[in-house]
Amino acid sequence: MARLGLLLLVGWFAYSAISLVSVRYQQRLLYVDLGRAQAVENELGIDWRYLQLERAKLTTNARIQQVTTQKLNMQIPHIGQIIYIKDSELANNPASPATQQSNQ
Amino acid sequence: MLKFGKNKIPELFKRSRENGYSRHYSSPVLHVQIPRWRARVLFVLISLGFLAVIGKALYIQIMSTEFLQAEGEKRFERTLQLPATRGLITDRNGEFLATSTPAVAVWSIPEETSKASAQQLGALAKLLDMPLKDLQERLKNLDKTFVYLKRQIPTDIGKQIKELGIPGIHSLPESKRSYPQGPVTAHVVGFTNIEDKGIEGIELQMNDSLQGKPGLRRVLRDRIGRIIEDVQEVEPATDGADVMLTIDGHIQLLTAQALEKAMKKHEAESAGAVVIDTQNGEILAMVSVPSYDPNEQSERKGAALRNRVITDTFEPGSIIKPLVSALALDAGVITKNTLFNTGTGSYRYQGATITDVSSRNGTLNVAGILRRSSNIGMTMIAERLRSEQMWTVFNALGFGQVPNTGFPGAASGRVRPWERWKLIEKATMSYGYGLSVSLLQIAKAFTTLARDGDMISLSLIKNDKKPTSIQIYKPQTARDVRAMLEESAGPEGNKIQAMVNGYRIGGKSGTARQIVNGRYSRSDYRGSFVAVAPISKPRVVVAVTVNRPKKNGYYGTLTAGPVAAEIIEGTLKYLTVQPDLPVEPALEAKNPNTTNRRNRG
Repeated sequence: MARLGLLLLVGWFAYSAISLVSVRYQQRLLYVDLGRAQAVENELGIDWRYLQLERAKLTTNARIQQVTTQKLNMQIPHIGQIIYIKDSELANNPASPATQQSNQ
Repeated sequence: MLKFGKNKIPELFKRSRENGYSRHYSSPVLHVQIPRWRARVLFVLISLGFLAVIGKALYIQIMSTEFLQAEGEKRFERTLQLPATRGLITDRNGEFLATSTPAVAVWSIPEETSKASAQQLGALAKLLDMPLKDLQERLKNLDKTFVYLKRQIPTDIGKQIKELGIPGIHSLPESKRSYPQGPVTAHVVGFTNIEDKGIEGIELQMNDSLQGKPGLRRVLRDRIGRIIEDVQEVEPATDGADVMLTIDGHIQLLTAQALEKAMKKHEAESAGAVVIDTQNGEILAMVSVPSYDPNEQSERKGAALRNRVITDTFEPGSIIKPLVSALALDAGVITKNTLFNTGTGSYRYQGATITDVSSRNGTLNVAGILRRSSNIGMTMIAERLRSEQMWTVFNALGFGQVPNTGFPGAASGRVRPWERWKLIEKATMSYGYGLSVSLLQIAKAFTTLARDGDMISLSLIKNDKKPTSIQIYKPQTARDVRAMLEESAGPEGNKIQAMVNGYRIGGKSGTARQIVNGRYSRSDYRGSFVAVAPISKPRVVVAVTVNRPKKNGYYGTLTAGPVAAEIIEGTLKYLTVQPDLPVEPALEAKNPNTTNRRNRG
């Protein structure tokens, strides 16, 4: 009986030793995967920054002005072409949610 | 060991003798007695050997562990620096004014690279966008172990270079600063050097908070260089904080365009303009021309770098008159109706002759003096003021002090202590000679007239801090002078009002002669214009200065005035400020309220 117990113990130790090694190996594999994923994330982050820069370059005020005036033939309205809505008029506007509720 | 019985031995001998072995056994050589000391010597020698091994093991494991562990770490442990990204600089609407993108620096070990084929070098030169000759020149010195080939190149090109697989070519990660708005915001934003350190403008001023803090990561690498483990906790990089300015990209652009136009028309040496929101002291636009493109290294030099709004100081000339008049009204030494006889435009005072532009100004009240910009009238007002009084107000208005906007290189200007003022100097100072100010200081001082006599603190960086304000003039005085400014901009004055559609403005022009070789020049002028608009409820202060115009007039009303008019109309329209002048409606305005009410009723 004692002999069987000893054998089991030795077997258990052997198993645990081997699984330790294999778990560590798996951990490293996973870690490498994580590193790879982080590298991809990093790469995407870099792309994002480049895209942001490109967007910023395309949407500068100077460029927008150039495109609207030259390409689209638009112009900034003359002061007489602008209708100003007074704040007091806005408050009475039936389209605004506050007055809509009171109308119901 | 085998044990034999006593009786068995002779029998064995016997048998062996029979087998013919006896001869060996009986050989005298085998009968030699081994001396006992030999075994001992051997024992001692082997023991010594073991001792040596144990000793070495002890030495390695106990005495020199640190060294060996360090060696091991050297081979497998790596400390990686996690770079921090420099913060963004944006305008008040979040438009990028400065942003960083990752880049690489390509470097080489010339000796190794000398093995590269001509074809490889050709491809490299093409990717680096530099002539092959230059590249070869850089690689000529084989003694060097590190030569930068090109810095701050985009990462995708860096990758392509890596794929060429040229021996001795390596790359280092870097970051590149870009300024999408280019010359328009160059003076405000400034730029960084190649090491990503701010050296001008906001980049310099806010460098510490923009910079961030790089992180650290200690890792174990395996044989082929893959990271397999973090040795200790990763210290993440702290990215730099973003900075939002109070500048509005749109107003900045329209200001820059208006200035450029004037620069061209008058062939001026330089010009500057600043737009301040009088409600909160925020600087909406600050433009200096000539400008430069901060993205181009080669353009970052010379006079173009000067932010003329804050670093150039000048004798303000007539634009200071409203401020002195306000003081005189405030102090009660004159009233709105006090009359001054300016005579025929020439006035002897303290041994000097003071002249007006017009010889037919006649008798004027203070509003008239501002409208006609009479130096003689101002001299008469100054006569009633004490030097100390004037100095105190100049000081309170911030003249002679560095403006507290947190901007590098801001000039203080110069106001001499009042104790040393001569009477003639007090007089000239009342019309803007004998002291120097920057355009920003003048614009700030004019916020007192735009607001009710209090001067608001200026800000260039958007934050939650409440602006502070100091009361300098009585509210009624500020309102009175504001009305005079409107008159001054009107048809009887500098006529700039006529150039602004929809908004009532008040403004004062100034034309100052410049000192050349210690004398006031008759050919070098500076035209300035400071305006407040709309007069019914001031929202902006606009200050414009045009330095050394050469063509099409040099008066402030001709050079700086139209620029101010253009900026005011554009800015107020953009800020959706209601016009306070009747305008001819170009569209039929329908009020949805009235139609709705009619329907309901």
